[in-house]
Amino acid sequence: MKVLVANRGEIAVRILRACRDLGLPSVAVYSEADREALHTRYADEAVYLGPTPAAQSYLNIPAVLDAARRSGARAIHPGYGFLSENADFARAVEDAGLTFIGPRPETIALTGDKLAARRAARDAGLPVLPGPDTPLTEAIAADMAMQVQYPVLVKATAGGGGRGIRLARNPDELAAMVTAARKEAQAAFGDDTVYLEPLVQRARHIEVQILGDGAGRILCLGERECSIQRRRQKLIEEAPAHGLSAAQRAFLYDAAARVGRALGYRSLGTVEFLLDERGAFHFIEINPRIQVEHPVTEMITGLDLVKEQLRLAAGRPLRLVQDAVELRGAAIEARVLAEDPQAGFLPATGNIAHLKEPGGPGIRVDSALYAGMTVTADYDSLLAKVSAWGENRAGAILRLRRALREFQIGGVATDLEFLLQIVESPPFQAGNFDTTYLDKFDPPEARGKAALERDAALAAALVAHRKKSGALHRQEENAWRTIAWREQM
Amino acid sequence: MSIYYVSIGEREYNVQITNSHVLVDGEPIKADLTPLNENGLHVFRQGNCNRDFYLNPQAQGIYEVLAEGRRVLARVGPAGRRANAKGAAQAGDIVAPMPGLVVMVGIKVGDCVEAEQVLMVLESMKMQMQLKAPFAGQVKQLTVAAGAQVEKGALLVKIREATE
Repeated sequence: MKVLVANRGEIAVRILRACRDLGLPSVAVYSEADREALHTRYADEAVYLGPTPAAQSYLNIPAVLDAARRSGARAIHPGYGFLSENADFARAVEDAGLTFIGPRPETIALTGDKLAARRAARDAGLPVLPGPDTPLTEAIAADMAMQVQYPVLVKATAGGGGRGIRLARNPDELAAMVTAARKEAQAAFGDDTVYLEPLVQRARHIEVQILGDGAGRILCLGERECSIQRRRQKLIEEAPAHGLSAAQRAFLYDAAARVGRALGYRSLGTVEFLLDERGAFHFIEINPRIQVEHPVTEMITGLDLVKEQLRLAAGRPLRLVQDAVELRGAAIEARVLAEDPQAGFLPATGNIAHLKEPGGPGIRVDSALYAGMTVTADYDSLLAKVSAWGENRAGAILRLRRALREFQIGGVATDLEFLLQIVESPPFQAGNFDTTYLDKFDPPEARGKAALERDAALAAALVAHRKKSGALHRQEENAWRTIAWREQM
Repeated sequence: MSIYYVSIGEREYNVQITNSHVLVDGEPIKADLTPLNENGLHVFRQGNCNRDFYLNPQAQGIYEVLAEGRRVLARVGPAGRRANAKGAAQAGDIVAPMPGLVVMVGIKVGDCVEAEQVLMVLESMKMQMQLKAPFAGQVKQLTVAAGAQVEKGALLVKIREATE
């Protein structure tokens, strides 16, 4: 089975690695900007898709299908983002007689409609947040605004990736937030339908990894906690979620497996929940794809999730039974982004002049970086994921801290130092946080900051000094050569 | 001895470098920086402590410094770059790097010069050295003419950024 990977960056490399591990021939696709990208060079073959803008390359369905046809690929893995949650794409792949490595198109369509997913979850007996199950396609009526329980979230039915979400604290704010969310949803998803969901205060984000064979068998591969978020973007994820009781875990796994079975779920999926202050779970949505944060699950289960996906897509049965799934230790992942914390987390671009990725026991790095690579503003800002495994959460934290300190990326501003500050913060280490943790995060001054800056000042002055004296030296030599040449005349 | 003013964030450090030692804000520091490759990776040694220091020169005297999981931008100026440094030479003040004879002057007061443009040539002990403009600007002062003998450290030319 020749596999085409319809993605780029670290996830494309991740999937191509699984292909290589299984001995499957692989095909990468690339845009103009990615001619020299790592995934383009890693795959057995690479096919040009189109110009740099994603709409003309990685989101261009006819171009991707054509690349599959030309390369003779039999299956397409969409990765995450881009076309991964596009039901039309999944259908087009199957209509072309190819295998879509992911859920069935109708499952993708259902999970892509957040209200439909809520209904499916409720029908399967899952706890779903109360809310008017009606889509709002127009401005909200004044009498309706009065009946809503505040604070409330306005969410896009086609939403994802934390976009198209607005918070309203009172009836006066609601109308403006509905308008804003609809505008953002239209721009991001081409659909301005929104719905209301009560805000769960001090909530933790907890999700369950499932793997289904499409015939009703569901494996539950444990949970992940993704409460460390910045502007609704996950930044640090871990498995398992700390401090859950056996009863909470049993409830969670049963709920995820139940909705998976109800959907006859095929391939990898994530069932997302909020955990409220009283310890109750509330279903929020299903992500029908491999997740960015899948490495932490792989670390505690010892499984290669992409390999399992590929095996299922090749028509093999599920290899495991639930009782054989053993969760061991703890794993934490940190997302290294090309964003400058000193400049308000603005995207940073530049040339990676120097690169040293961390390593050693318990550390895994997923990236598509290389020294000399240019980081452009064309795609997302994820540069690398650093994941650490430990026998327990404290051990994983120590290793992650070590790895973040080892990681050197020169030439482009990154959030590495910010990640380190989070990992070193006492509330994080104590497991005392919710999804609003970073909103009010004020890191204490790093230990040894003054000494380090003094050393940095000294080092910079020394390099400048040597550059100057070296230049002087070279000029002297050149002058001598000129004179010697003149004397020979 | 060379003096550099290095600013990191709001803080400015005074770094004095001589052949034998280094002082930061007047305090002698026993440290050594050795390049490991051409790309900017160094080892910073202090006592028994050896640490990776990556230094990447960027535009305008700014160095990106990576060390211990942190990234610092350090701006290095020449001696007296600080505006309030009393009596010290300013950026754009060209002083004689060695005693010698002015063999050529290629500019006059009022000229606009490009960065790296040769301003004059000094000769000393059969060695000629070109003095270049550190940045684009205008010649505000010229203290010597061809044929003059100068001492080391003498002010020769003042260049100021063109104010338009």
